[in-house]
Formats: sequence, C-alpha cells, structure tokens
Amino acid sequence: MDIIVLGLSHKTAPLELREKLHIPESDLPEVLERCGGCGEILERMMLSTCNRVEAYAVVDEVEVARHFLVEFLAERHKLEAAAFEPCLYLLKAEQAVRHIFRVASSLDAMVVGEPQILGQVKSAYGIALEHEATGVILNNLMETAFRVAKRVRTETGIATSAVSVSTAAIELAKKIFGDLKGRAVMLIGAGKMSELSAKHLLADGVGSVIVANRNFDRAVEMAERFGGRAVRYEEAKAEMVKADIIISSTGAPHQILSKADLEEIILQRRNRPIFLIDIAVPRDIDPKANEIDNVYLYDLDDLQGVVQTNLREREREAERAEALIDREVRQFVGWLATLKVVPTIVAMRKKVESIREEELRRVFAKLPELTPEEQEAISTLASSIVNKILHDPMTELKRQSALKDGHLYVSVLRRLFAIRDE
Amino acid sequence: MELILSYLALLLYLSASLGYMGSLTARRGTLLRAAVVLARSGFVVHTAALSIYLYQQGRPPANLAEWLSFYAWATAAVYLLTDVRYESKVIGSFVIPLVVILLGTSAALPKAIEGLSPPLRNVGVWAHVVLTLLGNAAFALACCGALMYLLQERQLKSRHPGGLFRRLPSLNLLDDLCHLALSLGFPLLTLGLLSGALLAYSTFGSFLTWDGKQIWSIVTWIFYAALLHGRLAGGWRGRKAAILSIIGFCGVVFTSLGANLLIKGTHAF
Repeated sequence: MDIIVLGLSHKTAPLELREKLHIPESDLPEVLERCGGCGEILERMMLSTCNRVEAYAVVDEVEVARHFLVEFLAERHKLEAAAFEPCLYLLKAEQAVRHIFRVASSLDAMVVGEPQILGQVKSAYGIALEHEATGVILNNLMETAFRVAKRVRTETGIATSAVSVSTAAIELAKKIFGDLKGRAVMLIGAGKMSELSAKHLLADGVGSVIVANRNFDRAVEMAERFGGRAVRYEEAKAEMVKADIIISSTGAPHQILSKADLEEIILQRRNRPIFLIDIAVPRDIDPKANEIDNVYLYDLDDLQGVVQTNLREREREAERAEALIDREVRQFVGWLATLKVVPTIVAMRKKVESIREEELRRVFAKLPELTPEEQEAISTLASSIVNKILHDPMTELKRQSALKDGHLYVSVLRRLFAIRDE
Repeated sequence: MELILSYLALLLYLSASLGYMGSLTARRGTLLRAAVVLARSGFVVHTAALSIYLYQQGRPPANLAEWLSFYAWATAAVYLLTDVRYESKVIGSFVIPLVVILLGTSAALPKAIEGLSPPLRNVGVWAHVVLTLLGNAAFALACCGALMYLLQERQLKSRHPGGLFRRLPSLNLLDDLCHLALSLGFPLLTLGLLSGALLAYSTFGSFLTWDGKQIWSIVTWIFYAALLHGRLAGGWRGRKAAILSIIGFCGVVFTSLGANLLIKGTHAF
C-alpha cells in the first residue's frame, strides 16, 4: 500500500499540454468513479487547475495503478500516452506526502505564496469526499495538508509581502496612510501603468480618482472608467493639493514637478503627507522632492527595489516553510508506518524474541548445572510457546489488515504491546 | 505581599518586553500575542500591588521609588487604554520596555521615607499626584509613538524599507497616537499643575514656592502647550512634531528626576 502522486505541472509541462489534460470540475465525479474501476486504486482524488493536473491516490501496486491512470488520461483526452508521459512525475510515499503539503501551502506554485491554490485543493478534495472516493489515509493526509497550509500562512511570511510594482506601491501607501479609504489619488498621464495602479488602489478602497492628461479627451475617458474626475493638464498643480497619492507617468521629456512645486503643495496641504509615485521614464518629479518632510517619493527603480527585497524575503520565508513541512511530513510518515502490518509484525516479533532471550539468559545464569542438551530443550520450549501464542493474532491481523478499517487492529495491537513508532 | 506582587509584575512586564522585542525581529504572531497577554497580566498584578500599598499606607507615593512605580503603572494604564483603539499591538514593543525601566528603577531605589509632612494627606495632594502622574504617563506614550514614527519615517524615506517597515504600524496611526496622547496628557498636566498651585497656596500661602520641580514643570507645560498649539493650529505634524514630543518627554524625565537635585524645595522628590 502506497500513497502516490501522478501528474504534471507548470514545472514539467507547457501550458498547451496542461490545457489539453485539464479536467473541468463538473467532470470530476465521473473521473473519480472510473478510476475506482481499477482494483489497485484504493483511494483517490483528482486536482486539475491551470497550473497542474494531478491524481492523488492510495494504491496497492504502484506500477499497475500508474499504467491504468496513464491509459485513462490518454483515452479520456484522446491523446497518445507518449505525448504527455515524458512530462509526468510519479511520487511515492514520503515524497508524495511532501509534494501534497507543498502544493496546498503554495510552495510549488508559479508565484510562491499565491493563495488560490489552497481553495482549489480543498474543493477537489470536497468532491472526492462527497463521492466516497477517499478513505482513512487520504482523508487524514488532506486534513493534515490543510492544517499545514494554514500553519505556513500564519507562521511564515511567504504571502505577506508585495511582489509586483503596483502591489508594492499599495503596501507603501498603507504604511503611510494606514487605511486607504477616503483617500484621493491623482493620475498624471493616462498610461497603462498608472491605470493598473489606479485599479489596485480602487480595489483597496481609495475614495476618489482625479485624472490629468495632456490630451483632455483621454483623461475624461479614463476618469469615466474609474468613476473619477478629469482635469486639464494646466490645472493639475492646483488639484494636487487635494490628492494624497499622485501617480505620475507622463511621456514628458523633462521634469514636470520641481522640489519647489512640492514645497508649496505640502505647505498648502498643511503638512498632510503626500505619496508620489513616479513611474515615468525619464522621471517626471525631481528626486530631491523626497527630502521634503511628509513627502514620500518613489520612482520605478525604488519600487522595483522594494519588490526585489520582498522576493528575497519570500524566499527566506519559503525556506522556513520547507522546514516546517519537513517536520510535518516526518510526523505523517510516522503515522503511516503505524498502519502497516508487516513492520508491526516484525516489531512485535522482535519484542517477544527479546523477552524470550532475556528470560532464558536469566534462567541459565541461575542454573549453571544445566547440560547443553537441557539448555537446548528449554530454549525450544520457550520458542514454541512464543510462536503458538503469536500465531493466531498474527494471522488474524494479516487478514483484517486487508479489509477496510484494518489499520484499527494494527493501532490497537501497537498500543496494547507498547510498540513505539520508529 | 505588596513587594512580592511588585516583583511579579516586573517579571511579567519583562517577559512581555522580550516577547515584544522578539516579535519585532522575527515574524512570530504567537510571540506577539503572548507578549500582549503577559503585559496585561503584569498590569493586573501591578494594580493589585499598588492597591494593597494604598490600602495599607493610605497616602500617595512619598518618595521617588514609590512614585516611579506609580508612574510605571500609569504609563501601562494609559497605553492599555489607548491600545483598544488600535489593531496593531506592536506599540507595546516600545511602551512596555519603558514600563520595565521605570518599575525596575523603582525596585532598585531606596524605600526609606523622610519624615512625611502632615499636609501630604489631604484631597488636594491626591488630585495633584494622580493628575500629574496620568498626564506624564500620556506624554511617555506620546514619546514612544514619536520614536516609532521616526523609525518608520526613516524606513519610508530611505526608499529601501526593511523588515522593521513591515512590522511597524503606519505613519498615520503613529501620528494619531501621538496626537491622542498629547491631547490627553496636556489637560491632565494643566489640571495637575493647577491643583498643585492651589495646594501650595493653602499650605504655604503662595501659589509658587519656586522650587526646582515647579519651575521645570512650568517650562515643560509651556513647551507642550506650544507643541499642541502648533499641531492644532499650525499644521505641525510628522517628523518635526515627533521630535518635539521626544524633547518634551526628556523635559518630563528631567523634571521628575533631575530638577530636585539641582534646587531643593517643597517637593520631597
């Protein structure tokens, strides 16, 4: 019995192949049903997102199950198995467990830490659970994976820092203004970048948008899209007093805002802070403006620097997450081992044998006058008692373990005989 | 009993401080939560210790050691009260260590009380002591907020914000905290000084006895009056206001600890 992961992801397969193998959520019940047709597959679930198609299963014979699944995928998607087989990975036991934990925790994601994947795994598992495709092992595995993912989220910072220029700008804005609700943002220049940033800011609750552009019609058009207000380029400076955040991205060949301009604006604002984001190349705002109190000026390079720092921080945090996952994997594999019959029987035998040997040693020490023949006879007697006592429970254990809930017998036996997890 | 509780409170505040510091350097949510719980329990124990003291002695603090313990308590009280307003618990990382310093100094100082003059048992003294204590505690909080503001402002101005940047609250919140603490502290200090003046009049027959503490208190009061006025009317905010809050608090510390050493007067400490 083994846990396996069979699938492909953005790391091994190009998008067009992933698209071809994608299984829509509505088809999952049928797919799970058909995979159940293979006797070797005891428990199963199927995860299909835009970045990965993976089967998680508990199987008896790994090779048989693998073959079945590959054939099934090929047939279902009307592909030659050879077309996708090179991209497939097959992970077993501990590796499979680690992979599932990493996927759920978004460590295996295209953008490490992006949060959607956990929801996708949960819903895939929900479908499998609903259609009784899972059992004790997969249930415990997935519940553990969700718990691990939650720990990774709360105990490490892999998902807290901004890793794009526009989200970095928002992160900074929040550290200046706290809540962005009711703040006014002004866009100078109606370019793509400023539009994107404005969208993010609006999503974060910014109250009003003012757009200034050389081409007034474009300003009006963009302001309408954001439910904002357009002003003529010449009036921009006067309007800046009202704006808390200014995103400047004009194509002007020279600076449009000098340090003196901003000194005046900040004076009129009675020192209320102002956050300037200069994403124009060449820059629109005199870099010296950052020296003014309550003015915070970031240009494109600064923002990219913040993103770089955050990415490095994320990597560091990802390492911590990996360590956390390592511990969880060890724990889970430990639990898994307790479910296995053969190691339990071996451990049981070992324990009883050691008791036998110990007792024999003590008896022989007390009775030095015994002849080798007598010793031999006593030794055989002890062995046969041990074997006869063990025989019935061991046979029954093997029989039960093949049945559903067999692991219960294993765990009771381990508890009764105090056999520890190795 | 009271002494044991005081030491216990100090221990709790100290472990809370360590937790706060830890949560500043490492991203550990659990550490911060533990620190908050420790700080609150420290405050409860401290309150119990001072209640026993007040019940047994029936008088306001009468030497520097006692006063410092009350000051530490008042600072913790003002902080925990304002803390309800803010989601960010990080502010404790700066306030609680200050509480530890105050209470620790109190524990280290001699406890002896030089002959307590009888007038120190009337209502006027109580009002004077309680009001100035709370006022000064609010200024301590303003100073902590200002320190955090300066740190966060430097992070933002550097354009390469580091780890501290993420853990410190927003500038807006910190400025708000300073403002709140100042507008709380100033009226309290004003009333405290007025009650002190009335007390002096009823005891010594003059509003002002020109002892060191009185003079420096008035200087501090004028300073804070100017600062608050600047904030309200002149739009002073941000870095400059933060620096002034810190200077003001240095004045408070000097008034409390140093002024008497230079010019002896009607204040026992």
